[in-house]
Amino acid sequence: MSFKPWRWRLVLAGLVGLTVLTFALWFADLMGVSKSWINGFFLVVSIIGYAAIGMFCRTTNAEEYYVAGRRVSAPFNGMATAADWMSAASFLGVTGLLLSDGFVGDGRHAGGLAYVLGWTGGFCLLGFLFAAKLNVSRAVTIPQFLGERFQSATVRWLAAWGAILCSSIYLVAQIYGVGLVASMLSGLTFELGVFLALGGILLCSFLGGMRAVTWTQVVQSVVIVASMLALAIAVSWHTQGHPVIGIAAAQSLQQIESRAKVIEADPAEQSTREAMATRVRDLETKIADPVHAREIERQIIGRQISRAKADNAPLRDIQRLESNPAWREPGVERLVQAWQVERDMLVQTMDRPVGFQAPDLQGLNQGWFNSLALVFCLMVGTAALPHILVRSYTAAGPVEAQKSIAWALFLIVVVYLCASSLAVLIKSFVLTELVGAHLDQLPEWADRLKLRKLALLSINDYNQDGIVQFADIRLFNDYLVLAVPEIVRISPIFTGLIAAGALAAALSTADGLLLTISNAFAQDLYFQTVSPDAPALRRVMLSKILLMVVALLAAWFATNRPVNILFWVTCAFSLAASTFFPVLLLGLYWPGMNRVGAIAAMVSGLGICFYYIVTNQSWVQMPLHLRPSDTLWFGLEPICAGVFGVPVGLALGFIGSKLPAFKN
Amino acid sequence: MTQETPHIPSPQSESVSVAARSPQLSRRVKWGLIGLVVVTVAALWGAWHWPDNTLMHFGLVTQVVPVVYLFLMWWGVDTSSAESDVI
Repeated sequence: MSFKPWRWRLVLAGLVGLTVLTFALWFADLMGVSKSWINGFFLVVSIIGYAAIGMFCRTTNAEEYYVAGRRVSAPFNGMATAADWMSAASFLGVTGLLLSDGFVGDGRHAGGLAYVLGWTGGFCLLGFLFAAKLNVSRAVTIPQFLGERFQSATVRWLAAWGAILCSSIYLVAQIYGVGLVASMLSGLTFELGVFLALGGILLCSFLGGMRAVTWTQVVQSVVIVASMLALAIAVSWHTQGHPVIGIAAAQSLQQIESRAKVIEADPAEQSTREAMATRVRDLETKIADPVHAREIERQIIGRQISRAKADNAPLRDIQRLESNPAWREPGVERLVQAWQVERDMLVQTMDRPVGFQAPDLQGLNQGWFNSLALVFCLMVGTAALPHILVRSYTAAGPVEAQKSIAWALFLIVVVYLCASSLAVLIKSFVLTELVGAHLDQLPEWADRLKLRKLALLSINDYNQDGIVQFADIRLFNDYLVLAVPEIVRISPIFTGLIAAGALAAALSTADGLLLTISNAFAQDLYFQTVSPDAPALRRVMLSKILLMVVALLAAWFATNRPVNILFWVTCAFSLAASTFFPVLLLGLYWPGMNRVGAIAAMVSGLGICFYYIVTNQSWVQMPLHLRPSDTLWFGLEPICAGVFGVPVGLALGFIGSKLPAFKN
Repeated sequence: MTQETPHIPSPQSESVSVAARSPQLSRRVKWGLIGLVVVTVAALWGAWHWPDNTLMHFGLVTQVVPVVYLFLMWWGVDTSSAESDVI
């Protein structure tokens, strides 16, 4: 590979730009400029910067638009892959996950360790098994590769729909994340935040396709890693007086463990959990007979409202009574849904360990099996995500493709080492400063987090003793990292910095996903079936139009505020694993695999995985009068659906290829 | 930005068949895959076998194992590129 100085200059420009921006805004903060202005400036400058790179790299050349000319060297392709993969959920979510679920968890659900191992180990699978071979194939999309490997339009068509399904779920979650970060930074409404960020995404991917996205992602990877490292060093320095956050976290662990033991044994904590358990039982009774329960509850609330009005109670108290779902919701279904959400939230909170594991865990419990299954799904899913696989095509050669995976893993490991250490340090602040505080004398940071437009903390005094117990606290884990500077009391400039990193993570992933979806529509569905001989320029133009349509549709879905981003992102990994891993593995390493086997592998893998995820949703279980335990197989959580989809796909791929009637 | 002469690709179906025609994994990749499975299962088994050892969970599993994965990947790529059967 020849040395291309402008590429390194681009990386340097990203780093220098971020540093200059940070120091300028730090100075502005010292001068008393309002925080919303500072954060808004971070947002606008980031988006303009990425859009400028996108415009600079605009192209209508098909090879450039679809695969960045197939000449990106390993370090840059690795940086782009890392940014492509590092979504808002994985960049921000890992810290919150480890904080909430602990390392080994509660003994029933998967622990936070599973995410760290699955999301890093998957790159080894990708690098070892697929990267070089896909690069050699010189295809443009994964469905195209599969279609040509099996000489089948049906395989390509199925693979295209599989890629669209997995990527769409992931894309909506990313755009939702972009909207939240953008609205938090700018003070705009969530919907405006979504559309502002969407403008940035479109300017990158619409004008220059993969070429523009690649170089934008290179800069975004610098922003992601630099922002996380800067935050980690600052937190470590502030808490332990040195810059090595891993050591700072290890130093805090002993204190956390002894504090957790004290909290677990506290009678007030026990009474809080008993009050929560009573409320759960109460909600289950209501859910079992919702019509009767609603009537009784409405009568009680009606009396309370009348009394409050007669006593000239403050309007806020009356509004609080009127906000009760039994009073507010006219339909029984929505009321039951609200009760189910509250019950699930309470159960989740009660299961949450005080420290990093529940007390008295013994042996290989259900949590171990869930963790093992989740690690499998995340690893195999990482190796089979279409928008990550397509990065193998942009590398300059097979060796570069493999090396780029190692580069990507290096950057991701740096971020995760910091994220897991941050989880430990935040836990120490929560256990020492928040638990045990009087409700009217909360730490300043807790008050601020409660009152924000995007509230990152809520406290419900279940045992009514006026003191915060651990079980009273609900932290909004998906975005908690954004609050680290306030919790640790370091300069607010770090909030803008980490939000810029989160924005870069969400934008880069959204760019990659958008390209994958629009290319699947244009290249694999439209041109393959309707106009196979279309000229390259027409293909590029249609891809661009479809990209815009997909982006707008995804933004519309995101503005409907899907809940539980991490759940759906994890499901996307399981879906990708079940749909693509068996067919790619057998297709690349078993010459006997034929088109019938490929179709059987994809349909069965995706079908089983999709079935398992859907049947474990409350909106499916409720009309069918099913309980969660009725639909779980071996007690495994729905996010682990890939653990069923992948083996079934492999088995049916093998059997389908062996069928005598269809053998090639 | 420097424009380079676009690479003219070979016929794709031929390249696809080249990619799929060589099903062998290099020795290092095989060991890399075995290492990946062994390290992962051992890390999870260790974490659940000593559920109260938080320092081990943090230090070994969240900090050391991802670095081991990185080492495995780097080591696997290094020679698989030399032994590559797809070039």
